[in-house]
Amino acid sequence: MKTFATGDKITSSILNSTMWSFAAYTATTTAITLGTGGVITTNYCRIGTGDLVFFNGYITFGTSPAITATCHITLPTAADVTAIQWCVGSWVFRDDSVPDHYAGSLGIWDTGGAEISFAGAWDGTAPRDRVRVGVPMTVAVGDRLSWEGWYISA
Amino acid sequence: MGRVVHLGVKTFTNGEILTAPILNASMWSFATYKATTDGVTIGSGGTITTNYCRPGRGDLVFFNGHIVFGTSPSFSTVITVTLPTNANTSDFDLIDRVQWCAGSWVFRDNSAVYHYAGSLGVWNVSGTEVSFGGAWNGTSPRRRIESAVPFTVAVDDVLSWEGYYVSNT
Repeated sequence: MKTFATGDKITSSILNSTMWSFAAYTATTTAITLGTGGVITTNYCRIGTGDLVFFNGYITFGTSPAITATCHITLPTAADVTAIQWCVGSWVFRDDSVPDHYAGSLGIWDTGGAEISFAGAWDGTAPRDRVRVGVPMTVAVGDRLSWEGWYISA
Repeated sequence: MGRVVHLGVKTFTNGEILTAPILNASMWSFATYKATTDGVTIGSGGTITTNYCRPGRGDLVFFNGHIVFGTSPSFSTVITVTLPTNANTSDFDLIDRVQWCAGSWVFRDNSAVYHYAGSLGVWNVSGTEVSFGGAWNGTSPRRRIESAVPFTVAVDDVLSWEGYYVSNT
């Protein structure tokens, strides 16, 4: 975060950095196979020089996709946490063939604050699992997984 | 009135001097605040961390929180946690309403390992607290977190939440 002092000069780069605009970032996924033709889009916005970061993402699964374990996805920057499962946002998972729309909340996956997982997924008994193989459904072509949230950057 | 220029959330007017405090107020950074919980015993060695961010001079407030439960924690009733400032729960007809949706939560059963989730609702018409909606009660995800809902809290379980609201103050 920038703290201004008396006498600081306001430059165009400082002014530009206070604007609100999103940029793409390349996320790394774990335990997710997008499938042939599948796409993933991930964006973030860090306003000014503060520590608040907004992010979102969207996956359209292609042919023969798979989720092989509890899946997790990297954030644009590391979150300022030292404990797991800080809540940072929400997700929607569309089963395109039915269609059904599952939903839940995002939790920080690791103590380093690098990744998120997808909590509150229906496991056949209760909405208590994280999105993983067969939970909340077996992913197939045309399904959509999207998420959004914000966090304090490290 | 001269031309208006927007920087962050403050509205500037011609001739106004940009001071360091004004510019610093337009930054987005978080600070801790001391939340009060109702119905929650964190347990010996448990910790609660709560943060908020109110950028510029606007009424938008972001907040989050995280509890790691210690030994012998408990929920005695429907639990609530205070917000950093009062939320504005009135609509344009000035009718006060509870359960404005204000964010999300995750509740980790550390021994199971399960991860329940739901949404925050403002608890009271004065907008001072949030409760935790969408908790599984064994039949459907229709309750708020309370004693034994969605499960009986135990040592090392984790409850976290995040959200934003329009401040009334």
